[in-house]
Amino acid sequence: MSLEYQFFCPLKHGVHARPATELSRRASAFRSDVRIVNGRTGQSSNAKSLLSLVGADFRHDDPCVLDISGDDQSDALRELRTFIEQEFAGLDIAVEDAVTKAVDHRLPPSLRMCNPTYLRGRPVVSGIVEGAIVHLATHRVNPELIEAAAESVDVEMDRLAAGFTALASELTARKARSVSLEAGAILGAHIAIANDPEFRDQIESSVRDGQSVAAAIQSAKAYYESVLSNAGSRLIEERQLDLRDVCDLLLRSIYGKAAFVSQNGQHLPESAIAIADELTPQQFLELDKSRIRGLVVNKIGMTSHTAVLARAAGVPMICDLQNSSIALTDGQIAVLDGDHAILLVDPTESIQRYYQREQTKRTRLREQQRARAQLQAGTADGETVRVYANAMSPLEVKKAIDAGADGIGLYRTEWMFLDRPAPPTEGEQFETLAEAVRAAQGKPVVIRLLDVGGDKPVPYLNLPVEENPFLGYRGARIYPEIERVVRGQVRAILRASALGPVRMLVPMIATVAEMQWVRLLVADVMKELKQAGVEFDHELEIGAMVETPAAGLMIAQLARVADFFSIGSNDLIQYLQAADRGNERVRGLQTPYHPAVVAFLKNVVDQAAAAERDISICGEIAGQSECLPLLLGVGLRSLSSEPTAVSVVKARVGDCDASDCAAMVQTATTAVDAGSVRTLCAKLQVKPRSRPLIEPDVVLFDSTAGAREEAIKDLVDNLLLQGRIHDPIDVEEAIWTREKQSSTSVGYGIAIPHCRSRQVLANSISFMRLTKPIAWDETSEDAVRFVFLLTIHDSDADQSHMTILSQLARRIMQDEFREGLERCETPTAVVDHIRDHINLNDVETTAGG
Amino acid sequence: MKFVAVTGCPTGIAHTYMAAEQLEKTARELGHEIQVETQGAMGIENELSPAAIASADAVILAADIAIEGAERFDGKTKIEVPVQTAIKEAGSIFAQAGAVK
Repeated sequence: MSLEYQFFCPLKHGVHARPATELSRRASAFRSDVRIVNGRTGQSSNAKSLLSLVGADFRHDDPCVLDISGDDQSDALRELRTFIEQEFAGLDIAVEDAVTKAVDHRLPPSLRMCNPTYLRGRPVVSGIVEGAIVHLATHRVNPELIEAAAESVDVEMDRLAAGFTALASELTARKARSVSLEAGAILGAHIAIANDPEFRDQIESSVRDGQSVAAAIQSAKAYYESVLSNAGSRLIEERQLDLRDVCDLLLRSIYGKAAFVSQNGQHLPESAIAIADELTPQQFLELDKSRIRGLVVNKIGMTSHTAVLARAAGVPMICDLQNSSIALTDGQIAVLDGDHAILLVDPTESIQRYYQREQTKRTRLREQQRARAQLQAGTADGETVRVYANAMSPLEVKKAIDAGADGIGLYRTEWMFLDRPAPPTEGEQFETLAEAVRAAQGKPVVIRLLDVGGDKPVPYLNLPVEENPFLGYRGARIYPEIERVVRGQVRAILRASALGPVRMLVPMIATVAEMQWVRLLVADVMKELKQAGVEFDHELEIGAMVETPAAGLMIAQLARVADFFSIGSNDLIQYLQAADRGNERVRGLQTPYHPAVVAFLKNVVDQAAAAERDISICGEIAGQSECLPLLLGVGLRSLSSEPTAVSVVKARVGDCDASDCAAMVQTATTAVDAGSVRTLCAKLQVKPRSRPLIEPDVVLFDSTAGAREEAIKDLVDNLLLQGRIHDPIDVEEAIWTREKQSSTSVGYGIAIPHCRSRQVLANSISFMRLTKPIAWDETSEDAVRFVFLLTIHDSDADQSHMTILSQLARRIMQDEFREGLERCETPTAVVDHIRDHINLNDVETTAGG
Repeated sequence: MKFVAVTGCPTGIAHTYMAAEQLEKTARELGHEIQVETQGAMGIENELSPAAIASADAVILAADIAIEGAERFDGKTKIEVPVQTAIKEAGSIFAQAGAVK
């Protein structure tokens, strides 16, 4: 008698590859047959098969019946039911990972004026490259191979079995060699397809019916392609490429290169912009990346794995080209602009000059961001803030440190324990941790002890499946039962502590006794290591995570057994508000802006300060720059965010005034709801700093600009670099709108382009001296040598800067002022000269404060 | 001669004031008297009084915008030019004024 469980599909995007992979993995752990029937379509699918699941077109709210039969059906039902109720919906997130930012359809005016010939596409990976167009040869399975008669069923079956074995080892080897986390993850997905039971059954049954292996693979490919393309979800359709990859690799592992008709050794120019109708992930991995500078792929969705790989490899890419009336021929020179999602063909000299300038600007912007990220972050009123990163692999540690993190505030060790039949050995753990510590280059690494529970099944730990895993047996609570495993991890962490500054963090603390247990164990392990003559940090600090309200209310007592504290805000918030963070219906409560959360955090930080213990925060909110005033306001001075957020958080810290934030938090703790706190927070953020109207860094000497467009672009780009404007395209547009009304060339070799724009952050007078005078526009005959660019905030109520601009305008008409300007030889001299003739002081002292 | 003038440009940031300066400077060089009202981003500055307007021989309107209070000059001799002309060829404006007079 089989068991049944009915549910409605909780996934907004349907059962796409990610949830299907996880469900099939869970189902495969049981001997029973596990099937799911889709009540909408009547289709029944094998829950152990990823392909069968994604092919069954489960959509949001479809009625489903889980049907399990076999000797372990009760266990299977219990576990799968818990999985579907508690975790399935959570797997729907992150499907848009590969999608780039919204398309910016605006071309900058300075590019538009070069009259480029271009094709528009959709943006996938940003970046600008120039190269020669090359159409990638299409890759086709050899038809003779498919048509060849089959040998005996036994011979063909043996051939297939050997092929699957070779395929598995090839994919495993590729995964081991993969250069990025992204490539590793995608190869993992390919391994899942190669191991899919339905996929193999499908091919085997065709072979048993007398087909050759090659023909059987081709028909399986065609079958699943049609299933996937009828799935009605873009997310699933795009998995066709992954399927094709696995089929082709299987063919190759059996028949070698003869399986394909391909133009072997296609010649790639040194800088190639490759154009392909479609490109599978494996084909991308095989491309010579030293020659491929950019990619244009016609049929690809933005969530395709190929896009993920291109981004990881830093290859600019666009897709879905429109306007096919422009013919593209091999060898033709083109510029691929991934940001504007255009392919410009046959760039003229002015276009090339535009992109050279654009590249220079980007390089400088990147360098600037990198340099700033490496600096210690400090608030506007001079408080130092340490910005650490969370990481879970040595590679992520490296990325985080490169991005400017002050260290690793949370190194998660769980992944070393998941997805394997037995715990990792101490040696294995040490190797990984040692690599992580070395990757941190002398910066501190906080390593968290194993944090698992009923929601992250680890088979060899035999943890019970629980009704309510977040309130259950997890984190430090399970350590006494798995002492051997914890001991091994503690030994590995202690050994790694000899290689760099390491601290140990204990998760899910609710009592002093839990910390005490870990301390005793660590002391014991230290004794063992000392006796064995193994090096380690004898002063290793052990900290407690503050995730439970209980821990937050007894910081003083915990401080006797904890050397430092780290707030795990994701869990703390869900426990404070009794709102499961995986539950859509109570998602609204999962907010750091709740006045109770703010008050609680403030109390925790105050207690830690009283107990003279370091405290930091490592939850998601640490990386959300809009939350920053809140975190600084409760008194936090160290944050640990996702690696990608580090530079943004560091930059934002500089915009905040710690004492303003503290005052805001005082008000926030008495606010009535989260909305009011959010408003208080947002208000604090907008505080552009007043800057002098003119400084040497907005004076450009010896400019090589050869035309008005270039001069304006250079000046605007410089304002962007100096942080004086926000969106350069808007500012440029505003300047050009003014240029079109009447000439801003005023005679005497001077031009005064100017604009008002909301995108101006600090009002500025920029100055440019040109090496070679340029004709400003058609109407003015005299060539321009000096350019003053005035950029003023649109809604600026303060009129005092206008006084200065009107004074400048008047001075330009005076011979003495102009002659003095001619004599200036340095940016500082220009600034001094202007200051000598215009009284800037009043404005700068009133506005500059 | 005695002049009053109004200058104004669309953004009111630069040309309004450059034109004013140039008209004042040129008038000085040519030995004329002039008072210039600017209608720029700061609003109306150096506003012309009815008495000043009444005593002027001619009115120079150097503006690329519709100026405020144009009715103040009804019945006066007016020379209307683009603001650029005041900046680049102020001399010719005064010459024109002389001829008209």
